[in-house]
Amino acid sequence: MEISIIKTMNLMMKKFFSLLFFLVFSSVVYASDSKPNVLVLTANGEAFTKVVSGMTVELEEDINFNKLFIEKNTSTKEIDKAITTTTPKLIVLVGNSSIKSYMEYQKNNPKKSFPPSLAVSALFVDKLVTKLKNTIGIRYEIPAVTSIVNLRSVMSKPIKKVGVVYREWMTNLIVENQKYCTPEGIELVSYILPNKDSDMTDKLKNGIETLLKKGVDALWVVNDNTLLNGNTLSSAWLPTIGSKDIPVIVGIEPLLASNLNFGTFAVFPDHYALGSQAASVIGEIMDDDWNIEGREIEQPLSVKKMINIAVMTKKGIPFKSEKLSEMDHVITQ
Amino acid sequence: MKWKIFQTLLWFSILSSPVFAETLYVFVPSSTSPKVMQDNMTALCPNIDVVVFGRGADFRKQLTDSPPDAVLSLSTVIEKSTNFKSVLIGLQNGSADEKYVLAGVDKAPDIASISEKKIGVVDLLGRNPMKDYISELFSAPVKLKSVTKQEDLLPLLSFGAADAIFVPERIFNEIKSKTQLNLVSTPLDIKVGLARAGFSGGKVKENIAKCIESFNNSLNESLGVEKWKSQ
Repeated sequence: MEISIIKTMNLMMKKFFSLLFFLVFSSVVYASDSKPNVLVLTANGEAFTKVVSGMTVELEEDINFNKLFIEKNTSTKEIDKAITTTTPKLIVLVGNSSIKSYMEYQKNNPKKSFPPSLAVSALFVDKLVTKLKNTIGIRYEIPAVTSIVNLRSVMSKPIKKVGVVYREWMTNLIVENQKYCTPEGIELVSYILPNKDSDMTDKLKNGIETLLKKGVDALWVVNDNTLLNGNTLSSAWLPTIGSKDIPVIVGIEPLLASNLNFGTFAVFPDHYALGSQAASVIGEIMDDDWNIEGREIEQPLSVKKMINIAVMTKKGIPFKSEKLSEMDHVITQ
Repeated sequence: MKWKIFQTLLWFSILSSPVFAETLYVFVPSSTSPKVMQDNMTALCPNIDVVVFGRGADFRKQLTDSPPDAVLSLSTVIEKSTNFKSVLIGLQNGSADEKYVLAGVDKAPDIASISEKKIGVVDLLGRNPMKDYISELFSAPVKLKSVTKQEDLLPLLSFGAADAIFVPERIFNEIKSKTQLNLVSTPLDIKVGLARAGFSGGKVKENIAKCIESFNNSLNESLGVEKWKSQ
């Protein structure tokens, strides 16, 4: 009798622990499966790492991020495998090479339906997303209004007219930038150059001179390496601007170097904050049941600001020293 | 002889090392850059290891990974933390909190339809806690567009990425002075606490408390306060 009671109790204990084990195991599996997956296609590089970091830290409680690094020899088969394995609710395309690879993947699989994707930290995102299915993006290029409003806040003299020289292919971008500048009381005065010309440097020089004659308060230099390279810098930009007290807004840090005596104010993307902005967009899409219909491409919100007060002082450009604390970096020598 | 030299060197390195410096983490959204703020605080308090964070996510992560002796942040942030208790409170016009407004372009935002709007805020608490917090303040569900820096609030309005921004009235005035957009505000019946200093477990570290009380007008202004008072 006692033996049968003990045997029954043992059997019940075994069943209890089996049930407990099953419940614990299945709840762990359920918990890890309950978070949606997002696949991130990204290249290597410090800027991209910051974007991914800014994006994932904001959402890692709510989303499983799976990364696939895109290199020169990454095939569309690898992309296919990553998508099949992770079944992402959304794909993030970080950098131009990721977008290009994903474009090829979509082209190779015309009959497939694709999850929504978000393109970020890439040049000309607005053009590229039109070539991709079910994709939106955040622009990388800093709008002129962002740069100019930030410059204006640190300048002692008014900034009402800002000149820009550009090639014809940038026309839509310039027109859009003029639209954003107008409500801020800023006139973006433009000078257009042909896309190609054997005499580009001379035409560029002429363009800069024309803008200066029109009495612009500052110049906004776009990142176009046909108009901005070693040759054009020494033959057009520097000789024309010279030591004139005109602030020059540039988009890359090296152009702010004191020995160049060229750029006085630089604005460029804050990559980590760009990632945070991407996280914000992903969060909104997630709340909308992974639907991107009706969403528009966003402008980048966050920038890094640098000012070279050594060049400003040398050129006699007055600035508000009390506003220097708002700059991310001040070059003093 | 060699052993004596070694002992001397060992004592020297222990005594000169900053191992025992008290740590203060600061996260107060401001137009002053975190680096400038940190340099100014370190200059006033050279014996305190001060770290100023420009982003809430970095602050929260470091708070968990390497807890400091004290934090200086907005009351909301300190109240939501489990380990830090407010000891010093910041005051402005004699008050420990300030009025907030909703601000939009051309038209004062309508509070009645707040649930239908996208509201721009500086992230203080993280995505989900921030949503809960703001919804609690408005007693209504709110869709947020969070930014990491105070200066990113204006672009939200410039590019139509948010319908309105939720900011202290003094920050609204600051943003308004920077832009020529027609910013219009809706006054709210919402007050949020100013910056305060919280100490780990409520244990006051005298050096840190003295350090904060020694902040000059410029530094206090960047933190949104005029002076400090013991709670």
